[in-house]
Amino acid sequence: MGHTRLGALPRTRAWRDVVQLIAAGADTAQVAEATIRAAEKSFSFVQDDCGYNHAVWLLTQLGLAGRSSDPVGYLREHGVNIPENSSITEVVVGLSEALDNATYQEITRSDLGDLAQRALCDAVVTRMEPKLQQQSLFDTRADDIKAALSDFSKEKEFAHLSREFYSRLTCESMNYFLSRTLATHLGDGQRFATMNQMAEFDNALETHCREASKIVEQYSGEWFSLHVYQEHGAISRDSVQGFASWALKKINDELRVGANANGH
Amino acid sequence: MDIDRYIICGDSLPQLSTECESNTTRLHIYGSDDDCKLNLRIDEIQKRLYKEVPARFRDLLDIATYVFAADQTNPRGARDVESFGSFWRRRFHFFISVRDLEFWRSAETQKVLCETLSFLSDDHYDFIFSEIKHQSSFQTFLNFTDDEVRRNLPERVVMFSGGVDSVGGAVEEVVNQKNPVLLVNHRATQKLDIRYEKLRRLLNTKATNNLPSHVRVTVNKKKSMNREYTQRSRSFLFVTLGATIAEMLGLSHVRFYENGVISLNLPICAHVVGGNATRTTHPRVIHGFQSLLTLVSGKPFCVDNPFHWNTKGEIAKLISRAECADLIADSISCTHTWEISNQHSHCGYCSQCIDRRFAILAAGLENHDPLEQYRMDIFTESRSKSEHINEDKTLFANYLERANQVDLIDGPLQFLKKFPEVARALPYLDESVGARLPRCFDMYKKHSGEVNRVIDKMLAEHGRAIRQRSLPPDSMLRIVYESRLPCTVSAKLGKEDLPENVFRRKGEAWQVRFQGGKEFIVLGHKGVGYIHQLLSRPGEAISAVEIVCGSAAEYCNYLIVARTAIEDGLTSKHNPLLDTLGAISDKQAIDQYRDEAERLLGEIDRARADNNEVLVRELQVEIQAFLSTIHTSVGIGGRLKQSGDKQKNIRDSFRSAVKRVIDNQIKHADSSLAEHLTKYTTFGNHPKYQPLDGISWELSAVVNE
Repeated sequence: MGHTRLGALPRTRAWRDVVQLIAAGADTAQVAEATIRAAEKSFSFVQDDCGYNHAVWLLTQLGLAGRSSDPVGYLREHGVNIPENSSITEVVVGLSEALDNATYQEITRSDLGDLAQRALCDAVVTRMEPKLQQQSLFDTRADDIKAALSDFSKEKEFAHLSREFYSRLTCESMNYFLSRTLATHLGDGQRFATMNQMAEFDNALETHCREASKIVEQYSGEWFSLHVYQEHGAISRDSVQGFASWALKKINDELRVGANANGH
Repeated sequence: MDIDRYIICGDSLPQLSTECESNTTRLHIYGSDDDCKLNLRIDEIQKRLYKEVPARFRDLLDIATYVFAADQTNPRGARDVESFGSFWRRRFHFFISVRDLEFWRSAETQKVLCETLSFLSDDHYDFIFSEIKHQSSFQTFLNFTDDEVRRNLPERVVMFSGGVDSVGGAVEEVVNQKNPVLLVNHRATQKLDIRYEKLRRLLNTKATNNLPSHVRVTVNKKKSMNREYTQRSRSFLFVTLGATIAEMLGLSHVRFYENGVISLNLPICAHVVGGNATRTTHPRVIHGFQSLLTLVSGKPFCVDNPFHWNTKGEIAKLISRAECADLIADSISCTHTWEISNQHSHCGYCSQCIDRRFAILAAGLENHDPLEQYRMDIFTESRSKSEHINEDKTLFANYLERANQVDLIDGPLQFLKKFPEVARALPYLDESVGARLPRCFDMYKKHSGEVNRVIDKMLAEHGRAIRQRSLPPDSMLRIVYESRLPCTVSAKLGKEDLPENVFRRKGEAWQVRFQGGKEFIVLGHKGVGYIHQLLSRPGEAISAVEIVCGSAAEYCNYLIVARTAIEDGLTSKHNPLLDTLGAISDKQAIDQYRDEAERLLGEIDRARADNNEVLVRELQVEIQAFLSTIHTSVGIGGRLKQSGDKQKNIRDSFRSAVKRVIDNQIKHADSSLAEHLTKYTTFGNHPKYQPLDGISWELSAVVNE
């Protein structure tokens, strides 16, 4: 009991290059760029992933819920089971369950959906936590949660929420590949003499991914406002899927040029 | 890759298309002993306690056995990185004949069954039930042997794996609470029989007036059916066996004992996703088991895990407080059962061994967990002893890092942010809604405290060996200790110390920087060496042959031994292999061939005039040989053909190698350098790098101090 299955990177030329770059001391931008190139096939394989698409759909439902006079009721109607007097934790639990329920029997389910679940939960906590009083985090009044959810309907706030989501998703995706090899470079005489050095690399990678995700921030807000207007307050699944594909591609492109942009 | 798997069980006869046949597995519990046969065995339960097991429980046992067998006979996708893990999840279609068809076809039963199994094993489930045709006797496949007199009528069934947690559970039930229980053990391998018997005897000595009953269950099948080792559905069969035994004894309570950290099993690193981390006793799974068994039994059925809020360290202390610490030495936590020997009962590098050792040390019980029983010391030995060195390094590094990260988290919401998977467990925890997340956080905080205290203790204990560097470089204590020793590869200069233009060897790769931009790495490739040579002599036309030979020599020097390379003449600029071999035949010889051919043509004419066809044919064969020789030696326009132009080959190879490095590597890292090199490098027999601005490069290799 308690097994954990760890994986390794494929032995293709592209992935061998990534491993060699890490071993040779390349910085995070260059490693990230090489990783995105090597992972091209993986990303193209999951472009219609139901988990990822549903996570983005839930993201937009948070924005649309904020436009409703009863945000919690709106979310419940759309498959997110949140009790009346809920806390941030229960909002996160409701979103996580909604995602699992929508995808557990789907064929097009991949690990990207699980990474998106992590990103969605992280984004919601990050954006909602500061809005609520510290002392009432676990026993929040309904009005507090309602007010926090209502904010997501604002263009700027939706943009921030989207940015947080893609920042974590990018970082998780990058680590999804790199965590298979980073620790193997641990030990005196290797790339990371100690775990502190490896943690420094991880932190730098997180910062790099966060910077790369900035490209979706402004567009997300504008896209949300435009589609709320064009689709009369109900954004369709097709529109969401289009946005999801665009955002993933845009961040991948950003990571590809990231190493270059940092150079000059 | 098709993820659909069709499992035809027992006497079920579904109509499947021919395409499905290749993904079909046939299994049966009853009938002849062939390659598809599964065997269940339950030992040591009194016959007098046996009562008729309801049809639904017999069906459930069938279903659980088939699910477990299908899980092991159908491999998950191996190339999971390329598909983002899509092939990890299989789509099972089970065709099973059952006794209570109406019950198993009901929407509620199907929902609970499929949802629980899907979450447990991270697969898709689809059950197509039909009416059973041949009702076999229950005992024909549940093989009872009954040699022991039962002591007390048990109140509940407790699953007993023989690890530290389940020993703690048995101690809590039998010694502390004095509850009459039945311990059910699933026999994974016969190797553990002796230890299990010893553990059982020891436990009986501790429980003087409250001897527990013991039952062992065995499930086996042909070795050829073992194709997937992950066995994520194992606990479903395990709980089903426990519940069936409970039902036979008139009970409705099955208990697991597992520490909460392993129960939640939050991922230790980013690529551990979904069922990659087992959910054997995850709160949602326990809840699902309970719901299913309640439906099957038709009355409230309880499945629980009383240790859900405890760490393994706390469980070890509980055992010690009950004066049962001597049981720890005979408990087995290792999952690498194939490595267990009389001398070493634990491998020392699997996740369970690591967790166990930390827990025992945290509880201060190292005297009861002899180091000799571990194949390797978790803290001080190199992981190179392990066959899966990379996997093991990843495991222990991430185990430590997670403890470190949890230690730095200052509140439950930050914990939820860092480990969102905890959200999947919260609705199923036995605690008030608002207290669930803080309690999970507290438990992980306790666990990280235990791990970090053990590390601190071991660092203090082995301080001298660490300082003297007498421990292996990749031992656990060396990698957590910030020695600040110079390392051979990642010698790194600060940006301010690095010259504006750098192109130099650094270990097996190359360190590059252009016009004060960001430093980057170019991987070792012959083209990089060529560029380096061009940059080292700007404005000078250098023979491509010279560079190629020079690089080859350098490559040889690097890879083999410099002396050997020189002795072999590989550094010579005038390598005879590179000289043109000249014309295949000289012109005089060709002229002679031609004269001879004309003579033969004349003879053919004469032979034909004499109607001597035999001679004509002989002469034609002869002339064909001459013409063939001439054609291989003479090209268009009568010019003599040359053998392969080695100089041209080298020229082309040089240009391709340089362009490949520029296009495939440098362009991605710094496009301005790629443009610069493309613009100021000319190719041909004598390539040249001639920048207009007189740029200077730092080219000497990085030397570690």
